Amino acid sequence: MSISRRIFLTRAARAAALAAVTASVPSLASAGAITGPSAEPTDGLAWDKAPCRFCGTGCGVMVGTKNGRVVAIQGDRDNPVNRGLLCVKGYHVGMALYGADRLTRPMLRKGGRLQPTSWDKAVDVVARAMMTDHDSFGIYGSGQWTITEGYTAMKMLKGGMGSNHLDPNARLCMASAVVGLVTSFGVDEPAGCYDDLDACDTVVCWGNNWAEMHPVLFSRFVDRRNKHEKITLIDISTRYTRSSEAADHYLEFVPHTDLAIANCICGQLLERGSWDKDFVASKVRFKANDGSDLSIDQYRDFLAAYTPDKVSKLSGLPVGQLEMLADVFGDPDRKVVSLWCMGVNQHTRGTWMNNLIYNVHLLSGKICKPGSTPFSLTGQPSACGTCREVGTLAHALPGGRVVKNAEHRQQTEDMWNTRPGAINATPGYHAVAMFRALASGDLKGVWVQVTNPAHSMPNLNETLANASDRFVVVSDVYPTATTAVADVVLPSAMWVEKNGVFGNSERRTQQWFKQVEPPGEARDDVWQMLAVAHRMYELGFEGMKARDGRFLLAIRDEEGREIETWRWEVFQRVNVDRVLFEEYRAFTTKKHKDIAPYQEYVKAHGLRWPVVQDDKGEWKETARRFVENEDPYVENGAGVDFYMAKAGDGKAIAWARPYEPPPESPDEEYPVWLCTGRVLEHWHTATMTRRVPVLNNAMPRSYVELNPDDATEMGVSSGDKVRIESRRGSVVLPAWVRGRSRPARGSVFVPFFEETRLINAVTLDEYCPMSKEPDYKKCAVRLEKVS
Amino acid sequence: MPVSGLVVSTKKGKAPAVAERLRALDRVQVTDLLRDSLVLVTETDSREADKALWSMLESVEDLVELSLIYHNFEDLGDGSDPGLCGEERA
Repeated sequence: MSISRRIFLTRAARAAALAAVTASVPSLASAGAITGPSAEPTDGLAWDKAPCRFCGTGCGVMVGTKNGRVVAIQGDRDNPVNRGLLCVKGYHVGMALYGADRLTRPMLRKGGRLQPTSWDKAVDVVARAMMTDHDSFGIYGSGQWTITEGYTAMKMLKGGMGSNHLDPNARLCMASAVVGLVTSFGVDEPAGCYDDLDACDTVVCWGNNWAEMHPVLFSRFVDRRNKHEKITLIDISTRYTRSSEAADHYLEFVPHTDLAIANCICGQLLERGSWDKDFVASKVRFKANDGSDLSIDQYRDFLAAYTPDKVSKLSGLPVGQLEMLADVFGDPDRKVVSLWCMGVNQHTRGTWMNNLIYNVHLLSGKICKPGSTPFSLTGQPSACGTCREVGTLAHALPGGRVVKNAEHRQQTEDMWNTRPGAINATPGYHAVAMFRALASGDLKGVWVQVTNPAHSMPNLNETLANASDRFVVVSDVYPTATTAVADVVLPSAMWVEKNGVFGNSERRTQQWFKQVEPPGEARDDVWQMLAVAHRMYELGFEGMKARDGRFLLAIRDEEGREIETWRWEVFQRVNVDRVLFEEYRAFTTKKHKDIAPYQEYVKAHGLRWPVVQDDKGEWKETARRFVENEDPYVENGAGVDFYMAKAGDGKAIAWARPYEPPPESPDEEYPVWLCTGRVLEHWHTATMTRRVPVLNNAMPRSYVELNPDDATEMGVSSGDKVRIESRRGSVVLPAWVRGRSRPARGSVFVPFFEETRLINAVTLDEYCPMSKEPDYKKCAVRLEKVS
Repeated sequence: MPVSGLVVSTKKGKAPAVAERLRALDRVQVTDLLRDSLVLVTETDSREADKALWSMLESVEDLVELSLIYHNFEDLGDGSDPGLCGEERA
C-alpha cells in the first residue's frame, strides 16, 4: 500500500470515528478538523462560514484565511446539517482552490491552439457569436452554479436572447426526482428533512451508497447505532458497498427490477390490509399510467401482477426479503425513511421509480411525520437551489413557472421588464438533446459553465461528434476535457473567491461571502455573463434592452441609478449577489417556496424554505412541508395537506407504474451489466479533487471492479488489465477484486472520474422519457482480459 | 491491510488511563481523547491480525465498549491497488 494512500485512509478512519463520537458531543466537534486548524480566535486566522461546494448534503464549513489564502477548514458547529462534522472531501475543499494549473487568463483558440487574450477581446468574441446565433445558442450549466449565477444565465438567455436552450448537468442526476415529485405531489422538492434521520427507526436505502456518497448524513445513523438506539438499515442494491456492510439487511436485486419490488410492497400492503386506510382515504388518489383515475380496487388489480413469487423470480430477491419489506412498511408503529439518489434517478424509468417509492410511503402513511418520509438526496451543492428552484431547465422559468404557460411568460417578462413576447414559448433542448443538437449542427454554439460535459455526458463518442466544428465557450477553474474542445476559455472565480448562495437537498438556502481574491485574471461567472450581455447591448442587440431601452441586466442602486457592474472594477465593489438574490426572491412565492431577505441568510447557518415572517416579524423556516404547525401554508385542522396538488383537492397521487424491461440488458454478445458512479475521494469528473494531492494520491486512477467469482472464472486478478466494451465504445482499465465493494455476479462497477479512461465512451445515452435523465447505472458490456 | 477507525467508551473519568494503556499497543494510534471516550485508528497487515488486535483491545482495563466506525477492507497489500498497477496516466 502506498504511503499516501495509507495516510489518506488513516485520516478517513479518524474522521469517521470522530464524526460518530462528536455528533453526540457537539461541543467537541471541532476536534474533527483533520487538517489540524484551530478555530480559536487567537490562531491569527480570519474565519467565516460557507457551505461545502461538493455534494448536495450542504455541510457548513468554517473557512480560515490568512494573507489572502484559504489555509484551514473545519466543520461548522453551528450548522445543523453537519454539526461540525465533515467528510474527507469536505476537509480538503479549501485545497481545491490551489491546484498549480488554475486557469488565470482568458484564452482564444487561434490556429488550433488556445492562446491568452484580454477580457475585452474574449467578451467581445463571445457576445458577437451569441448575437449571431441567438436562438440556436445554448448555455449548459450546473448544480454547482450559485443561485444567482443560474438566475443570471436564465435571464440573459431566456429573457434576452429568446432561447430556451438552457439546461444544467443536474439533468444528469436529479431530473427524475423532480418529475417524480411534481407528478406525485404537484410540486418539486422533498417534504421531509435531515431531522427525520434522527427520529426514524428504519432507513431503507434504494440503490444508494450513503456511507461513501453522503458520509456526513450516514454519520447520523452511525451515531445513533453507537448510542444503542434501535435503528435498522435495509440496503436494497445491486452492489455490496460500505453502506451494505453497515446494513442489517442487504437485498441484492437484478438491475431495473426495483420497479417490480416497489409494486410488490404496495401489493402486499393492500393484500394484508396493513395499509393506512384513513390516510389513503383522505390524502391519496390513484391514477393509471395514462393519467386516468383509478379506484383502490382497480389499483389493487394492477398490483396483482406483482406477487412475491413473481417478483422474486424477476428481481432475484427471495420471497422472504420481499415480505420483510412489506412487514417494515406495514408496521404502523415503525418510522421509516427511504433514501435514494442516482441509483433510482439515473434510470430509464427514473420518474416511475420515484413515483413508486412515494406510493409505498403514501400507502403506508409513512410521510409527513417526524421520522417517516421518502427523501431523495441530491448529488450537487445547489442542484436544488439553482436548478430546481431558480429553474435553470430547458422548459422552466423562475420559481416553478414554465415557458409553455402564457401567464407564466407574461409574469416573468413583467418582472424582468423585457419586451412582451421576449420569452420563447417552446422548451429548449434538455442536456442530452442539447449535445445531440450540437453534434448535428442544429445548435450552433454553447457556453458551458461550472461543468465538464466532454467527460460526463453518456455515449461520448456520439455526444462529442463535431464539437470542434461548433462555437464552444467554457468558463471553468481548471483545464478539463471540455476546455480542450473550447474556442474560448474564461477563467472563473471559485467558491469563496466570490459571493454565493446554494440550496441543498433539504430545502436549506445557505449564503456566503467572498473571502479571498480569485487568482490572476479569474472573474466571477455572474460578471462574465453581465459583461457579455452588456457587450451585446452595446452592439445594439435588441434582446438586451429592457422596455425602457436600458440594459436588461442592469443592477441599480437604491435610487434607481444604473451601476456599471459589467465593469470588473465596479462589480468588485458591489454585492451584486445580494441585488440579484432579492430580485429572484420575488419569484419564489408562487409555489410557496418563499425565501427570506438576503440579510437573513447572512445571519443564519441556512434556512429551509418556505421561510415566512411570523406575527412578531421573525423569519421562520419550515422543517417539514405539508404538515400542520410546521408548514405555514397548511391551515389549522388540516393535519397533512398536499396543497400543491394539481386537482386542488390536497391529495397526492399514487401512480400505477408498471415494470418494464430496460432498453439494454446483457445478452450473449454483451453478457455483463455495467454500473458507473462516484468514489469517496473524487468529486464528479475530479477536476478539483485531482488537484488535492491527498485525494489524488489516495485514488489516482480508475478501475473496473469485478465480483470475485466472476474474476476467478475469467482468470483475472487485481491489477490485470480488462477491456470493457459495449456497442458504443470500449475502455481498458485495471481490475480490482475484493476492493471496497462487491458487484453482484455478472456485473461490474467503474467510477467515472478519470479523464484519460473515459467510461462514458461505453455508457448508454438512453434516458427516462419523462425526466430526460440518462441511465448511467446499467448497460450491457463484455469483458476481455488484456495481456 | 485493514485500516480502522474506532470509538472506545471508557468508565467515567478513565479515558486518560485507558488512552495510556492503548498507546502502549503496537499498531494503535490514539488520535483524540474526549470525555469518557477515545478515538483510535488501527493499521494491521491482515484481517486476521485485525481481529486479533480488536480482541486485545476489548480486554483493556476500564474499557466499556469498543465500536468500529470505519473499516477499510480493501485488498491492497498485494500490490493490487489501482494506484500501483505500474501504469502512468496518459
